[in-house]
Amino acid sequence: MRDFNYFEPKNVDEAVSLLAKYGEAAKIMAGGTDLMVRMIMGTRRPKYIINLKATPGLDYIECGDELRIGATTTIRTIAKSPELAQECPIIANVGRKFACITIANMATIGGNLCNASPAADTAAPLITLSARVKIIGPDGVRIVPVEEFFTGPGSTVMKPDEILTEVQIPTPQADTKWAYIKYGIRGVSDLAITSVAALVNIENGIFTEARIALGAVAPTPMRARRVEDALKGEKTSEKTIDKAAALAKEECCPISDVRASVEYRTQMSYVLTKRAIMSCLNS
Amino acid sequence: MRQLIRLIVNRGPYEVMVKPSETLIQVLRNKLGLTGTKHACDTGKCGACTVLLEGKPIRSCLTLAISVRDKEISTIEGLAKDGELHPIQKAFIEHGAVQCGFCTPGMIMFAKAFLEENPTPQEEEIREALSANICRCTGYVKIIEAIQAAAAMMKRRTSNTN
Repeated sequence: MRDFNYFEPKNVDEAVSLLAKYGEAAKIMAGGTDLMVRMIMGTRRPKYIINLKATPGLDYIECGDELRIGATTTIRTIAKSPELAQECPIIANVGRKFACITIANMATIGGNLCNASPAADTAAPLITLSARVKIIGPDGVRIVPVEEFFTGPGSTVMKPDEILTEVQIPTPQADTKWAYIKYGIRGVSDLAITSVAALVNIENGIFTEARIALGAVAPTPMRARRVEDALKGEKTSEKTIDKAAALAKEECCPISDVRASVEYRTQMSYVLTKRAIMSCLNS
Repeated sequence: MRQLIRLIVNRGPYEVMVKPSETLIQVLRNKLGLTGTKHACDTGKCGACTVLLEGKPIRSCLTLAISVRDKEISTIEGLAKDGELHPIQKAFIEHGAVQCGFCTPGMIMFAKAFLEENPTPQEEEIREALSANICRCTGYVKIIEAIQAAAAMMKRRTSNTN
């Protein structure tokens, strides 16, 4: 690994000024489970590492009118949080499907978003939840919906001198049905070939609200609006769901890679979207 | 630039000069001579380098040594007490849960943290949790049996002391 200078900022302001000073030569590290791999392989060679995990005050889960999760909160903390299991079970569930226990002890929710993998496990569920991220830079604070956060594989709307400090999630209604399906060869320990998050509300056998998002089948985690529109106002029958889920095949635009082909991912977008919505009916 | 840091490994303090780019596995093996922890995939996939940081399992290949200074680290070398093996080590031996042995230190350290959190796991829970560690000899059945036996042994031990 290339040598670098190492910083443990005492607060976010210090981290921001370090980023402002060193620009693109600096890199924020949180859990290190993505960045360290790249640094060891030599595909990332930062001159300055800013270890945000050492910065106090960014590791918290607060439940109020909305949920607030600090950027360096680990995935394992999220998986085990009794408050999240109660208030936002889809996020607690993602924590359990994210990775093995050891990686989940290290990886953070902020790191997972900033790494901006199209397969990022927390992204699709946060999109369905209308979650936002709090970003702090030299010019102050801005709030960005997770749905608008990603701009491509590995890239986001964040500027080089900005830091993601918090994820904000409007508390879902208590009767919201949800499902998160992650499909990969090694189960939780692998990157998803395709993942689907579904949140629906049902009244008298009709979908009154539907939010569907998919991972690993487009350059960024994507919301499947056509699937949602085909559900809203319709009966909760298998026929409706099948027809709606089939639209996921048209909305997605996957690539072929070591894990799966375009054709397979496209077909799985339909299969898993249908499965996720069906499982909402039974939850 | 090299810095002098303090690492607390198996309760013993070590003062060691490190570059910020040195990983915990490199420092444990090459500077402290603690070669029980194994260095394999270097990408966080295999679990051979698992050590405990304040009781929780981490990948020491993806951890900068400088980032864990002054924190408590446990490795396989610290598990036996006064010459007596830990129940998990005994169970691995008794159940033949060791083939080539390379994954064993990581498996045992992971099992220790896992059983502390969940002292009476179902077989299915052990199987799911063990996705954290790869055994390339594929000796998983014996490893699962050993963890079950260790759980029983540790439970007996706790009830005896109560």
